Amino acid sequence: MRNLGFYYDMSACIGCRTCQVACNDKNDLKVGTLFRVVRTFETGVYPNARMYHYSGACNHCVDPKCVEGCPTGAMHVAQDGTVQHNADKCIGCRYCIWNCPYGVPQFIEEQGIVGKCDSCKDLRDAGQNPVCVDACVMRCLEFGDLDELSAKHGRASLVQDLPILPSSSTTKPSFLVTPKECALNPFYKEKEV
Amino acid sequence: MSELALIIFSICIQAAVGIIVFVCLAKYLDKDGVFKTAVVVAAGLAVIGLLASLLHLGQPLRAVNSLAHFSTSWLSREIWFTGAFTGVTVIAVILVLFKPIAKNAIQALVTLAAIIGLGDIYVMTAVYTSSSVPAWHSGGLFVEFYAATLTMGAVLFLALGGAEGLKAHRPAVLTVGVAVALQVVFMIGYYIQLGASTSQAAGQSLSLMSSMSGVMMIKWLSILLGTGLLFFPVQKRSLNLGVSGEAAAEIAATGTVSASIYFAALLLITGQIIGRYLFYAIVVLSRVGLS
Repeated sequence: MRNLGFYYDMSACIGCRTCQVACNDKNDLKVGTLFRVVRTFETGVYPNARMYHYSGACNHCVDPKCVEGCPTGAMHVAQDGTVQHNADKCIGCRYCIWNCPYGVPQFIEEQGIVGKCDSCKDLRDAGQNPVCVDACVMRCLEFGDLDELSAKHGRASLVQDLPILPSSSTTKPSFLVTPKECALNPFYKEKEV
Repeated sequence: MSELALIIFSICIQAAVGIIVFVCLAKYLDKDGVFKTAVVVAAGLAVIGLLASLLHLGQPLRAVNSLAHFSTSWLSREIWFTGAFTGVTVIAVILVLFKPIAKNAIQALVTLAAIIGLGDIYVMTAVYTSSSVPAWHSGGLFVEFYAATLTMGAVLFLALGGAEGLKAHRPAVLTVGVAVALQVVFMIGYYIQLGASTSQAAGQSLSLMSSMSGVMMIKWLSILLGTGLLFFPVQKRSLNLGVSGEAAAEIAATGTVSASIYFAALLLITGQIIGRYLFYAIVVLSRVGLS
């Protein structure tokens, strides 16, 4: 099975949050619910203060804890290897929220169920990109086969572990990041923007 | 109090399992014991707990879907075990109320319910320890949940068992003592582990816990005072009968349970409920920037 996932070029990201807004728009999300979130972090001190952004969504893990814990099978691995959510099966127990180490699933109060990034499966099935990928003004995001993305962007410079993220060994996330050097600094502080 | 439904669910089920365990024990010590009130209360608590769990769901009408993934999901296993425990306990109550002559069947059902119930407590704990919430990554939670089960079960059994439960009085009191001692030891280890964790989410949980140190103090004071009252009941007259012997003597003499046991039950159950509130209140989820 192909291992599909997102590639994120942190070194080019300017933190404009267009991907986040496009995702909200596509999924018609209400205030407070985000399937893709951009966060901003600071490291170092003057005169060596640095800043970086991280655009995160579902990592469509190879060993997804949300799928393992889901009592209903609503959270499942689709035929293309991505992690998908069946809203009709979901009972809104929120166990996936406790299980995902990346804090991805969101409880949608009005519907009484959770929701999350489906990597715009409908668009992909129609031969298009996920909406966040096409919305990115800096072309920082891509979606596709991780082996191909890895070969394209230089295997040696790509990471799956960052100090801001939980260890990738837990769920084997399907995503690749070209990090900024400062993002490897374990002493960071989240900056509200 | 966003997890009120889960507090009611876990406390009721654990208390019900605890009662059934001591009814089971008492039935082996006294073959003629019926323990009608205790079994009825246990079944009532189990039913209330199961119904409360539905209130936690965003879509309670689809609750049956949760039975679908026993093989992989601890939550699915929890629902199976809780459902089975409640079902067997309710059947036992029906027999106790309408066909008390079927003693062997009642004995078998109570034993089965106790075994399923103790398994349910393990599964219930695993639901939390297997999650990605750093504050719940501790084997000490198994001790916390089993201690809550046995202490609440023991005091409720003593309060509801009356003269019938006399033979199980001493084992029940001693169980509370051992369970509370283990709970204290393992929870001290848990607090140290939480403090030593490199996870920022665990650190935030510890900060939350520190900010609620008054609530935690009430938890431990209630539990320790309740346990103390069981071992050293306040007496109207002084009899030199040793540990827990005074209360037993009073029950034998009057056929009623002393006020000390009711008060101990109130304190121990209050302590465990406050502890469960803290258990959910310190949840800090891992998210980006908070590994």
